[in-house]
Amino acid sequence: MRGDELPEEDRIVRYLSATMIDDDGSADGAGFCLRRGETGLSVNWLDVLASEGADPLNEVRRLSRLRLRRSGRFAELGVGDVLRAVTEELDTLRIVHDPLEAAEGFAADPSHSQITGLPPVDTDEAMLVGDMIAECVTAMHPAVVEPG
Amino acid sequence: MTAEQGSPARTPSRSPVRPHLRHNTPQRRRKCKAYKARVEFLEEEARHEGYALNPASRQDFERFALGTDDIRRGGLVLLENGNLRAIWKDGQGTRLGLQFLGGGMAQYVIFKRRTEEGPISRVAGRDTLKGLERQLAAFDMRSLVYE
Repeated sequence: MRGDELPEEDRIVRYLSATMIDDDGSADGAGFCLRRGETGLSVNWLDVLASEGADPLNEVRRLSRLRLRRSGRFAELGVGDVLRAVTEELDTLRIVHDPLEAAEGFAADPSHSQITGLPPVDTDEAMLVGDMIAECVTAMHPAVVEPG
Repeated sequence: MTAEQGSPARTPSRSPVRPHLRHNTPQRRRKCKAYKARVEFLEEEARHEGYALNPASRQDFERFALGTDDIRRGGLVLLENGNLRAIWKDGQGTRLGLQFLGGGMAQYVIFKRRTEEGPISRVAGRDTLKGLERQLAAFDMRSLVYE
């Protein structure tokens, strides 16, 4: 249900463009900072898609409304890992369900969720918290999979 | 100077690497070549995302990263405000991120694990490029950044 917090044992992914990925392939904290006009970071809840049987990452790719590039990656994180890590510096952070209705040629996306309660855009604290979240990334997945 | 002040630049950046070449060494040339390729890649990717590199940020980055031979090569990303951010990590939880804001200023994020099992100290702030030296010394980070 919209606004519910995601279970701590579940996993989420966030799309990162190549500019937010370090030379060694790891996620940079800049990819986990709010942009101007945003109140939350868009993420996808993998486990809600896994319950429907299909490969959840492929479902995220299919449902995404972003322009996914071959050089981009989905950074995978554990919900509980992020909450536990960031709570050391920030107690406002939440990861909440925010499903998208079908609209303008896009299918409904039941996995869409948001990380809320982040520090304001372009602040030093935002970058510090972004780096803390980046350290919770457990895997980086190709954003685009070539048909094989 | 704030990060957003560096963002409006939309003209192609011109590398100020050339002045550093006056005091060139093979080591510096190798580092310079590697960074040049990385920055070109990031600029191309940013173009697809609809933003551009801030030349003032690039100038400060190159002044810092290519200013002396003994600075280790760090990772490099390009933020959506057009600024470059360099990262040095040791794999044990210690890391330094420097966002080059332009105008001789940088934003630093320092994670420092002082003992193997101990907690990590974290701090973020802004300082001049010269002042960064004091921050690195205060957090005993010089060996992470310098050879």
